[in-house]
Amino acid sequence: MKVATGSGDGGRTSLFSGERVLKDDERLEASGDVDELNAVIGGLIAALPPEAASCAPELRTVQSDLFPIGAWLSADGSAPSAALLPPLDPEGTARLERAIGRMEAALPELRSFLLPGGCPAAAWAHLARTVCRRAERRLVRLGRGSPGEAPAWRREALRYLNRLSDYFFVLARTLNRVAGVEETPWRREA
Amino acid sequence: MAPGSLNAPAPPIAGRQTLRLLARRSLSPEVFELDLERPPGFRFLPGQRLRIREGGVERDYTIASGPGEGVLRILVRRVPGGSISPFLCEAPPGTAIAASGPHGYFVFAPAPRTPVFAATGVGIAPFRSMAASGVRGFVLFHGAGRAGGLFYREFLEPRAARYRGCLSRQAQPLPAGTRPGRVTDALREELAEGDYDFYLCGRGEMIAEALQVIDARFPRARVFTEPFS
Repeated sequence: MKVATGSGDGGRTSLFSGERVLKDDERLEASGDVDELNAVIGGLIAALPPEAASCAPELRTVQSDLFPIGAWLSADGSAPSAALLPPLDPEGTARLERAIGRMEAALPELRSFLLPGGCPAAAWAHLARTVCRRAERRLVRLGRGSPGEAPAWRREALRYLNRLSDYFFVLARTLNRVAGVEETPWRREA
Repeated sequence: MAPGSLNAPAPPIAGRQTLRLLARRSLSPEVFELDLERPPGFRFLPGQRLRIREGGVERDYTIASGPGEGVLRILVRRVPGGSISPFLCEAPPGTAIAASGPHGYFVFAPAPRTPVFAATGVGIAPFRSMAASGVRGFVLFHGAGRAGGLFYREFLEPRAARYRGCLSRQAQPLPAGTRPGRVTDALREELAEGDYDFYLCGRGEMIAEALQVIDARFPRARVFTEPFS
């Protein structure tokens, strides 16, 4: 697959459903956020300490989950090509919920807001959480322009991204615990 | 123009198959047409590809036959020193070929707009498949160096609303129905104002140039692309 074709040099690109759009089109902004999230997860995996290396397969599964979401964001559901896209599997959201429950069971109760940070991997997890929230907001904004019930893929993508940002929050706490780094609670006066 | 089969639900990914090579015909000194056994139940949409694996290397070939035909037909350009094409261009009939599919999303989207197909070389394969499935009323700009490279012209021209061969290296006089130059020249000079869906299949350079023309002349068009290297 050739990467540099030069076909987007004029600032336009094709959506999956064929429309030629400017590269600041809101659907591209949304799929760009999902792409950015995926790249941040790559940074998180690279920053995992050896004692948390077991998180890597789960995070790679999340990276794979994000690809079809990006494709759906770029597709018009009426296009025949969209019928070839894999449906978003609710099992992905369920898997995140199980992981959140598993990690939370080993964490102390949360009693205040936390300052994002800690060990490098936890800092990456917080960054992933915030990019994930941005992708979620962008998806919500996209839905505003579409009257009627949201298509199944968008409903599932919203559930997934909502759960995924929670997952990153709990993962950040877990990574700090594993690394022996104390969490920093927010205080009104620093 | 809009056969019902194109609106069918997504076909299953058939996974890995071993397909028997049934026949091979030479279409030009470098391009061969291969007929492969079609496994029972193998479904695809016109424009989708087979992925062939040989010696640990995989290459995709668009299916040129229609969904209603009994074989899977592909076009192979022989690349000297290539990883797979020399094998495909020399394997005797009966050879078992590892393949998976169908792959890809370059499928026909029925619409009120006129479909414009632009293809060069073996990039004509998906359009042969689409026409075989019943797609009609399309404009086809068919590019090749010389007239002998306009594969499937006899099949496609009667099914097109308008056919134009674009020959970049053909000596004068040109055969009827052709013009000198490339498909991008035809897109630039021969297509009237209108609403179109463009389908482009060919080398990345052709597609990049075609997109520049389309963006400049038809900014509201839909464009579907299938580049190959």
